[in-house]
Amino acid sequence: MRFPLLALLLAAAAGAQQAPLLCPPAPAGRPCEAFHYHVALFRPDPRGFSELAAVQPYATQAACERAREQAVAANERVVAAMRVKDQKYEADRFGPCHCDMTALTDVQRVQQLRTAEDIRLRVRERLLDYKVPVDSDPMRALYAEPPITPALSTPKLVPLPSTAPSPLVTSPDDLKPTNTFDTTKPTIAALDLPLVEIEQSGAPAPALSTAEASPPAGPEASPPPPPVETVEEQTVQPEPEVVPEAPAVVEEPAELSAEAAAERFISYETERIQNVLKASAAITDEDVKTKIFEACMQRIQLLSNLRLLIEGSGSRSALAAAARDAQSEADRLAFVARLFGEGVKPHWAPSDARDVVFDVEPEIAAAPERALRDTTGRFSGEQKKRALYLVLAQTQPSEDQRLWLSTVVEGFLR
Amino acid sequence: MKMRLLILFFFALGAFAQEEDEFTKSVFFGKKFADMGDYASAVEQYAKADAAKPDQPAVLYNLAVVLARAGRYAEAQVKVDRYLELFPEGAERANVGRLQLELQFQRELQKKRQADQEYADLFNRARFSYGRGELAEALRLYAQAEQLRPTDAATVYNQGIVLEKQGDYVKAIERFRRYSELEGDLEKKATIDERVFTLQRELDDRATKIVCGFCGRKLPSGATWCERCWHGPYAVQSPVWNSRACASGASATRATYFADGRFSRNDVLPCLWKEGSVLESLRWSAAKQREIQAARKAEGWTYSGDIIQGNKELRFVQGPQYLEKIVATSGGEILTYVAHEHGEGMWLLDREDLVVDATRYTNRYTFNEAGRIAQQRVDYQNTAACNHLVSMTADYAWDGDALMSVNLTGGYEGFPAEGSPSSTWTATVSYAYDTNRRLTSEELNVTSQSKTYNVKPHGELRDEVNRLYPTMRLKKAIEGLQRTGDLCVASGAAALANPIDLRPFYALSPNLAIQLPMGVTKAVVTFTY
Repeated sequence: MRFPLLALLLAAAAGAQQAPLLCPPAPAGRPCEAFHYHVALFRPDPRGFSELAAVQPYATQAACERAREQAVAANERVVAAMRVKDQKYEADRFGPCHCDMTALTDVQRVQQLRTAEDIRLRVRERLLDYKVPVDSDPMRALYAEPPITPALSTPKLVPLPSTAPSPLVTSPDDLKPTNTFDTTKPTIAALDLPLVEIEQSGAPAPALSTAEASPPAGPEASPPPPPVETVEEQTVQPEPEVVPEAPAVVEEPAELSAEAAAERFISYETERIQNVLKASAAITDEDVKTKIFEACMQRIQLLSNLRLLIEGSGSRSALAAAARDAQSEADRLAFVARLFGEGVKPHWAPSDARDVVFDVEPEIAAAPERALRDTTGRFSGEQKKRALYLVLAQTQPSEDQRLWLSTVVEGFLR
Repeated sequence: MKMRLLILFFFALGAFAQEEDEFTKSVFFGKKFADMGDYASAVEQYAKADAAKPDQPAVLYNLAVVLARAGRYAEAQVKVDRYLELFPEGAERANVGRLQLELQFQRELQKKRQADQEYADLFNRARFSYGRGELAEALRLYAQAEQLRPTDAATVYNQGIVLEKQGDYVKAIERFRRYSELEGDLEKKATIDERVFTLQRELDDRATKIVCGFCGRKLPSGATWCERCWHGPYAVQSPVWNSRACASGASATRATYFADGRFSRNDVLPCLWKEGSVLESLRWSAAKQREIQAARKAEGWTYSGDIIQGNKELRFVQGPQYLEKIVATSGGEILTYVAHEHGEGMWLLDREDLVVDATRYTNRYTFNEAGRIAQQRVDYQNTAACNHLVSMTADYAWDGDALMSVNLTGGYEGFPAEGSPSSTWTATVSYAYDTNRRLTSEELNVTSQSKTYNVKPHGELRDEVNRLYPTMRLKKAIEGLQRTGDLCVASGAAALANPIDLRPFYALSPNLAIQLPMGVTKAVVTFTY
């Protein structure tokens, strides 16, 4: 065992005398993953050098240089102590830091390390022989190793952090608003009942009142539809239960004024929608009931706006004429269909209260006025009529808007 | 007399004419104000007219209409009632009938508005409570609101949100599913379906995943290590690793003994698992993961997504599938890891570099079919003493998840200059479990330890060895080594040694990964639960 080891040391020593203390060059273009340096260790007995390439690798050239400098400094302290008694003692030879290209097997690495440690022990033995104390600086320098970064000693099992849990973040924006009611709607529903002219018993009417001397044909001129019966609980009732009877056609002047025509049409339709509401009272599903209520509220708003349009369009307008002519149920529905599209008919005079509710395409529902004003041809005539329904049902048009709407309506009726 | 009567007549006539004028004016003004939409003033005028000439049917009717238009429905109803009482067949009867209906409608409307208001109040209070983080109260109010309107999708959705914040995902999912049933909008349905899917996945993950206690990574609950930081082991099923629960009455005590049987010391081992078991303590949740990551980030660690990247001192070289190296940015040291995948998302270390107390170890593992460690080999150079190149091996025997025994061997071949000492030791660790498969004791015994010098040490080293072992004889095992320990050199008055160092066997057990003090050859850990 001893002979082969000695032979190995001698062979290594012979090599180390001339070795360049470098690895073979790294292939071009390949990044260097680790740097190290070689060292030719001086062995005092028998004298010679042994090359050690199995030095710890470092991630960077700079780290390697620092470790090398520390090793050189430590060796200098040992050499100084040795040269007190042995002038010919030589310093270790340190090669430059370079890319670690050694491909040592574990056995070769261990062998090199064993050789290095044996040399270290021989130096130690010599220092002891020179009476250098075991706890002196040269002795410590002999075993000096670069310190290991303490952070690398992190335990493998760490306790979970004991930080307080992050505060709960709750923003009301996370939540959805309810849309089962609309608080933006006016608190007072539209009332379409007309005031009646009051005769002043024998007293002459004031001069100003001549302007309104021709009273509109009040509802008394056309008796209201009879009260409707409510629908039975959750049962779809046939049309007669919900739809009021057509009012009796009364004797009237050859041509009703726009106001009178509006009054007759609107009051009839107002009662129709009130009957729908009344019928919906029998429905127990609150959700459905709410939807019917919403639809009726919209219809009342629409009728109110339609009245203004009819009145404002003048007696000779197509709108007033159409309102005037809409006396039978069929005429009424035809008039409504011309204004708001064929699809509205079953919802206008619903056979079941639930049918008063109807959906419009989301694209139109989102911006009905834009759809109505569209000139690009993106919306069909029917779609525009449904948009008209929504505009009248959901808004309170200004005077300017009413003028524009009158034009639109005239266009639909023409 | 006649004259007086005449005066009275004219006075009465004048008064009547004045009253008529007042009536006419009020009626006219009332109409005008009504046309202007000023119903309050119209009411005032018609009321004057009514006072001037009480119970005129048209006035009663008009007054009722303008009162209704002014929103004064109760007063309007009084006028309607008066009209119907006095003029059941009056000319305005039809309109009064409609007004009656209108007023009924308004009452209905007010009732509905009141219900709306009540609902809105509940809804807003719930929203306010939620904003203040009072989740239980918000949930109670939303539940109350749901009683009033069971089909309002928003109430149900908001309950889901609150429950999600409370961490009750099972109930939150139920609420979101109900919301999906109520919601008619397809786009909103799709969004909520995604949310439900996410929550369901989190629930599933809670059942099947754990979190790395160091970097917060989500791991399968069978993973031994976290492949992105190599912390562990996270042996959730192992009774050995579940032996140190933080629970009232639970304890773990390690007693050590010298070779001659004398008691050395007792160590009370602190508990490790706050939730009672490894699994419960490490059970994954998004919140726990965030907490760990936040804590690490506060310590200076950085992440790329969920993968830890290092801090100022250490750089983690992450490969495509696992952490391949740790590099000390200043010192330049490199720790290397090699691993293979065992099951989906579970990685087992084949080789790792480990640093404990400035000593660097290399661990190599082999595994059985179940992915449990079958053998571990440790190589290190004991730079803390005489730089010997020490090798140790542990062979693990399992019964399912229960570790039954470990056979340990270790030793080194010394250097020629010091006399080529050959040092070896063997040890066993045995485990005992109760009927509930809980670990009751863990016992380490160093069964043998020997050291033999094969050649004469050189020069002064011979004297040093003789001082360490006065009875040393070449090629003869040193007597009483277990008592003295494996000494190698003197350092001042003290001696450096190669103790039996079990610290690299950290995966063996949390209780015995220790360096045995010199002369100690036995350690017994006992547990109560």
